[in-house]
Amino acid sequence: MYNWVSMIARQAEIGSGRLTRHMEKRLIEQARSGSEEAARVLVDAHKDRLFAFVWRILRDHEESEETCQEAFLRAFSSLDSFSPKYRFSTWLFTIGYRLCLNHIRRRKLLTGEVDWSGMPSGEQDVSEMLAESEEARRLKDEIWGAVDKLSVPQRAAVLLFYREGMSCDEVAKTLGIPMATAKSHLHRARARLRDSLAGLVKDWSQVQLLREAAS
Amino acid sequence: MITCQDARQLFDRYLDGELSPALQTELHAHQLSCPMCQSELAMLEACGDVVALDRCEPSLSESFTDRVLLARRSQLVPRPRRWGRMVLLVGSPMAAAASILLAFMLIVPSTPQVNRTAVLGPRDGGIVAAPTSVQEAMKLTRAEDRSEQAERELADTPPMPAVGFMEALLARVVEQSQDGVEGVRGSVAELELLLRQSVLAASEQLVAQGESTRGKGATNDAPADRPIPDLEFLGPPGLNPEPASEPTPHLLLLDPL
Repeated sequence: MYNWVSMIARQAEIGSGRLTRHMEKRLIEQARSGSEEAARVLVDAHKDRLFAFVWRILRDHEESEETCQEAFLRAFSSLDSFSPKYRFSTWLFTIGYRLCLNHIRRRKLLTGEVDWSGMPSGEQDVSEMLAESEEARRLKDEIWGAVDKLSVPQRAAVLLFYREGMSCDEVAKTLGIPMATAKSHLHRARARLRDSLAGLVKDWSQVQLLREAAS
Repeated sequence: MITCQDARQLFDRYLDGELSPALQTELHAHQLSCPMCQSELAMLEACGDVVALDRCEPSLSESFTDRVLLARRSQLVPRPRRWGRMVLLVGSPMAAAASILLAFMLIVPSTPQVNRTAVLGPRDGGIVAAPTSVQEAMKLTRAEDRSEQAERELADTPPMPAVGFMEALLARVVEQSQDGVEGVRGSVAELELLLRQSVLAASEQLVAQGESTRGKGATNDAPADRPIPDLEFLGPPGLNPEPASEPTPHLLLLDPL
């Protein structure tokens, strides 16, 4: 018997790792009826993106893993109430973001109290699309440092907008805020990034952080 | 041509992808002539590129998916079937009602079998409300229709036990309690009698002892006056047949002297 769930999983691996809307809908239906294989494909397709998002907010590996696990469990336990007009990723990121906020409230971690010693070093594996020079690595670390100094809603808005490629409307839905507020978070985040990074480079238009930009 | 201030106000809309083509052209034209605005916009774009593409976060542990699925499996509780819910919803009240009815039947004393047709009489014809209790049936019988047949049947009815189940049970307990009370009363009377006898015997013994000492001639020795025998009245004479010639150590300890 041909297993279409395995087929979808293979397609997701071959492609960009993201599921099409149709695949996602079928997987959710199967997971809702108790299919563990479908649930596994959904977890594998979203876990890295969700973890990156959560880790950027919490900055703690163990807590981020626990939060991701809780987000998946909550998503699976309330699949009956999931509306197919939304993307599963949007829903999952919404749950993850709220869990992050709860977590931050619990440990009373403010943005200014972030431990900067935990910043990623240049020795970590980076995408092959990034320039490999030491100067580029330093600038990328500076940019991440500036991103980490943003407030939690601003950081979440930046991550969802740039990394997840969400529109302002999707960011607003994911964060559960009006679109005007989401835009405000995004614009203020850019202003703060501009202030933080202004003195680093004389002319940013000459900086080649990415190979793609250089070509 | 737009100014630097105008250009900066357009940055966000441009980066959001919401700038109209006409304004985009204006912005690009300004950038060509303004290196500062060009650098600033390049910086914001570089930030976006790094956030989007620089994957420098730590990776998840390999067992993450298995852990999630294991936790999900433990969360999945088999749902009760609908008929099971129906049994719970309908069966429970029915069982409760049946229990109450059974208890009522046990508690209510057994009723004499009264022929309803005889009680109500054939002339009633129509539907008559059923008597709710034996008392009502009896009232109806007496007041309305004292037919001979009904009286005969009532006379033939064996005498109704005066008590129901609970009363019979309680009667047994009461009977046992009464027996117990009688027994206790008897024991108390015996004890009282024994005490009276012992007091009498002790006082007689004391009188006899006093007479004998007077006859021998009284001395002033304190040990002779010690009322050791007085302590013996604590027990009935039959229980301690030994004479109290020598006081036992514990009696000496109790001696107030």
